[in-house]
Amino acid sequence: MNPMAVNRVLPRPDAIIATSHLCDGAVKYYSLLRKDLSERVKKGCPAVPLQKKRLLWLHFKPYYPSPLLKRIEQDPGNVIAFEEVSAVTWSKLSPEDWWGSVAAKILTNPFWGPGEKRVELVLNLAREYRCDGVIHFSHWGCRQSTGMVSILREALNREGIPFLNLEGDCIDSRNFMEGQSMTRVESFLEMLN
Amino acid sequence: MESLYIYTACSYVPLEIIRAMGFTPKRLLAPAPSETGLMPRNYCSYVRACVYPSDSIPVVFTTCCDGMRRCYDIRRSRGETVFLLDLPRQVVDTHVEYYGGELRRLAGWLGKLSGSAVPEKLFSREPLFEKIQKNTISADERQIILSGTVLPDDGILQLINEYEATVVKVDFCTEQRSGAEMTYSQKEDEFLSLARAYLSKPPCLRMTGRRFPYIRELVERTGARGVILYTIKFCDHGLYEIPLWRHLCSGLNIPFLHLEGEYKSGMPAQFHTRIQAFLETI
Repeated sequence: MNPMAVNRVLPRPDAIIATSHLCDGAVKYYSLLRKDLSERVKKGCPAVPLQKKRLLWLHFKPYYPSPLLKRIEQDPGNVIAFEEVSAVTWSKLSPEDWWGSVAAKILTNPFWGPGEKRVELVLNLAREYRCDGVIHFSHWGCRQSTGMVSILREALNREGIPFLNLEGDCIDSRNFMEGQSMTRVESFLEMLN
Repeated sequence: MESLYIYTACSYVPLEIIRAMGFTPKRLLAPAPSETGLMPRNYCSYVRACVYPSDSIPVVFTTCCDGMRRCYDIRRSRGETVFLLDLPRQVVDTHVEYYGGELRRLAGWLGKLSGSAVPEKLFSREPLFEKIQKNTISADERQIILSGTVLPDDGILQLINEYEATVVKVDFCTEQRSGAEMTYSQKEDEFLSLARAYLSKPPCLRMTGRRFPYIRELVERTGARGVILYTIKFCDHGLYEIPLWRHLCSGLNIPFLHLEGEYKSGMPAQFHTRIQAFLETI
């Protein structure tokens, strides 16, 4: 069990929805984030003090100025507890078997291979981070992710976890219906609260 | 097992294995899709059609595209009898060996369905491969190639014939790519041999590295005077194909027409006009 999940001490909602593992400075960034979070855990001082409703974010977010995530944060008590693209699904890499361990890492990617892998990951994350609801951001044209929406919805419904699917585009803001999405998010949050 | 039939959703599924295991293979040509929210709107309509079972016949899917993978996932999650073959792209020993293993797995699955073990010798004699249709080059000067993926009927062929043009090659998954001129080596393991034969057949739109040499050879061999590419809306592999054909046809100075439509019977009136205008340029 992740200690941060147990202690309900969380990073800022929009801090790490990124796959920047190979970027320059990524090691420094994640080390600082880890240090900051460890200190918060020790002090019992979460980034979002009031955590009434905890959300799990699936797939990407809009990578352009958008009030979507801010709207979720605005209502005190809502927090994005975790998002799936930051989940570490692989074992520690081995310098002795570099190629083998990197191959094994890539094969654990939940977006690759049978859909059950992703369902299992999402259910585990929802349980581990004690999420009250799940939001899936369906990036336009991503077959790997959006094709799983009906399966994820059914699996989460079986667990009694409300699910919201938002259609949009994480790169091109012209394909994101901001007003409609905001209304749907607001309704979803009202329903949770 | 109740069903005597097995549906296949890709031309790379060896029909010989299905027959050898006691079933009759049938190409999955599902009715045009009805929307019930199982798949997003921007999936190709063939995939959206395949996700709704019209009967309880088991289906063999391949990893030919991401849409098909998810179609398999959805049908599996609903408790249906489906199988997914992982399909490589290249005809090299490592890929052939891997696909041979996948075919062995398919035979095992079929054996479970029929309640019989996979026999040590799958074929008592050389498997009868589906033979490719020989081209009959007519005296008609308006000879064209029709390329694409899958359609529920031959409506577009009838339309082209109406305008007195001849299709010398139908390069579709349900047509000549589904039956290939294949050789079978009795010295090799049966599954490896089938894997090699199927991976070596005329490449489909997914086999990107081998596709351009193949279509160039196709045009040169048939002497086609024009090419019509019919793609289903939101089919990614179909979209990758457009620049290949455009580049080839522009280099050979022959006309090229791209039609984008849906997986459904009948052709819209707009296509009649466009095909007619295209054929007038030949």
